[in-house]
Amino acid sequence: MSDERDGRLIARQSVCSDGDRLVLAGELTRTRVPAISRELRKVPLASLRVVDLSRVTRLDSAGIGMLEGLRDGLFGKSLELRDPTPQVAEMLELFAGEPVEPAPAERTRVTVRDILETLRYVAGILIDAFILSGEIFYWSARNVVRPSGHRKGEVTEQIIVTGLNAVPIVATLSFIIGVILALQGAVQLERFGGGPFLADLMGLAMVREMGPLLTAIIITGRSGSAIASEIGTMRVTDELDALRAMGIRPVEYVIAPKMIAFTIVTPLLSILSAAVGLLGGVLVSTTFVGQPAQSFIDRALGILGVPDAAFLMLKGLLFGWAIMMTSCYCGYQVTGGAVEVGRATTQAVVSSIFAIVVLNVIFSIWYVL
Amino acid sequence: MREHSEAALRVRGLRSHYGDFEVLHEVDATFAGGKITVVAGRSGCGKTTLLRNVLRLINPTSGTIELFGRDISELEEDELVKLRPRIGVLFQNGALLQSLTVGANISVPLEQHTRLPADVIERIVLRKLQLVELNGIEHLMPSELSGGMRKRAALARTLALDPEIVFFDEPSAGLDPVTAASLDRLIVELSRKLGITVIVVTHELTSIRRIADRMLFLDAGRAVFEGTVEEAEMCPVESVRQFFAQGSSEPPARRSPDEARM
Repeated sequence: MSDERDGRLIARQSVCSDGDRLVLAGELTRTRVPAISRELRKVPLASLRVVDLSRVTRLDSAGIGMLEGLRDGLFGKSLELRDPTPQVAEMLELFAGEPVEPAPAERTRVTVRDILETLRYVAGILIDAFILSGEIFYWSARNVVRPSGHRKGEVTEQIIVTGLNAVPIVATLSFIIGVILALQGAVQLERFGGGPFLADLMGLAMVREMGPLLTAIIITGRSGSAIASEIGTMRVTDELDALRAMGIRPVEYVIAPKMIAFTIVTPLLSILSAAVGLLGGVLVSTTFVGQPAQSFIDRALGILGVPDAAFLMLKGLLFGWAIMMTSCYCGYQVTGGAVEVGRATTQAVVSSIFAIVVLNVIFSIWYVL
Repeated sequence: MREHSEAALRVRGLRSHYGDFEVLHEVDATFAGGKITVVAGRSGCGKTTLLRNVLRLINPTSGTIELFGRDISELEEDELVKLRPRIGVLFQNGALLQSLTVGANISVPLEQHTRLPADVIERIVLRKLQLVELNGIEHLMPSELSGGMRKRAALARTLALDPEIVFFDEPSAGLDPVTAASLDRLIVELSRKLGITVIVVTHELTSIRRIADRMLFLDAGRAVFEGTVEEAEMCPVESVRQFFAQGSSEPPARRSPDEARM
């Protein structure tokens, strides 16, 4: 552009300015605009009034955005776009309307009203969750008595999916955790010559804490997330509304069979987890401590009573219900698309684990008292 | 064929809100029994909201919805559950249950609302699939079907309990012109042969001309016209006039032959 009329040469190719007039040349497209914008930053534009477009061969929305940026930089003074070629004129005409003002940024100052709104929102969530839980309990109980509210064989299928299919992973993880716990415990106990007490430690730890907790965490990951995403997707694809329109209650048809399955499966998986964890303890006890398996089992079972077994099953059951309610609630909250389904699934896992931990604290306090 | 009362569905002063935003403003409308009534209007005018209110999938703010001779606007869910088997709904995307086969989908309402033996249910499923011209797909999953087939399969499910009134939400949306036309033909046949009252929500002018006996036109949440399609085409109301004018006299938005050659 060294041959540019009377303009002072500013850039090698595309930009030339002589104060109130700016000459642009070549393509003003998304590939060229970044370089041209960099050139323009070096040009004093305060007195700019005219942009000569006669040499612009192509213009796209990136170019339009750049021209609008030039105009906005003049703080209300008018800017004439001169001599555009027909193609460029057509593009300018397409975007001739007043540009839309960007939405104002969200306020960052927190007011008392915001806090009240948040509290109201949280209260709303709790009330909704409470109502949904009530519905789930009611319709599940009714389905136990009158199983025609859901598809035939659905409860069995859910027992297989939630329970039977989870057996390998629950057993494997429980065994590994049992071994780790026993190893750590054995090292500490051996220091004081308390090796035989390893059975007591393992019995109490696996039955009162680790069994139900491990089971709950695995069920959250396997089934809680699946329930949240299934219900969320059914909401997005209108499947829940379609059920309602057919005169079928979604809670009764979709959720109740899962709830019944959870009620059966979670206490059983908790027992399995505790038992297999104890087997891990037996392995460590026989190989590292030198305590025979029979003696270990006798001692572990000796320290545990019927209340412990009931406690184990009750804990497993309540953890299972907590996962069920939380996952269903998170799934029901989905209103948008696939992104929200993913978010609901994550939320279901995080909230379920939080609920499990809170419940565990309550259980521990209750047991100690 | 069924005997029909004058109006199968009557809506009076229906108002509906999404949060603080009022979507429907005092809508009055009458839907004739045994006829096909199209609810038309531009996108966002409240057509689907009207449908969801009438089906009580959302609760109206105020107004009455008289269906089968009784006001259902304040009915409890238990009452609605009893009423809904008499109503069929075809959702925009079909809303088939993705975890079940097509056959199982169609048998859902039959299993839930009747005590029919399994073999009779199976026969009904096959008959309904035959009715929508989809033979031999009962074992397929919904994800294995094309958009048009999915809608037809969903229609078979909608018709499973022989409803007296069927609602269609944008039946032609997302379909190619040939499939859309055949679905329209099916809707007309169902109405004529089975005497079903049909209410179709759509903004497809071609479809409206093909199927509508009567028409309700919504504009910004208000019912601005009710009558036949012929009357609608003569209607002086600006939004209705514009709707028909755009569909029939708008020059095609394509390049001239010279431009196309470039």
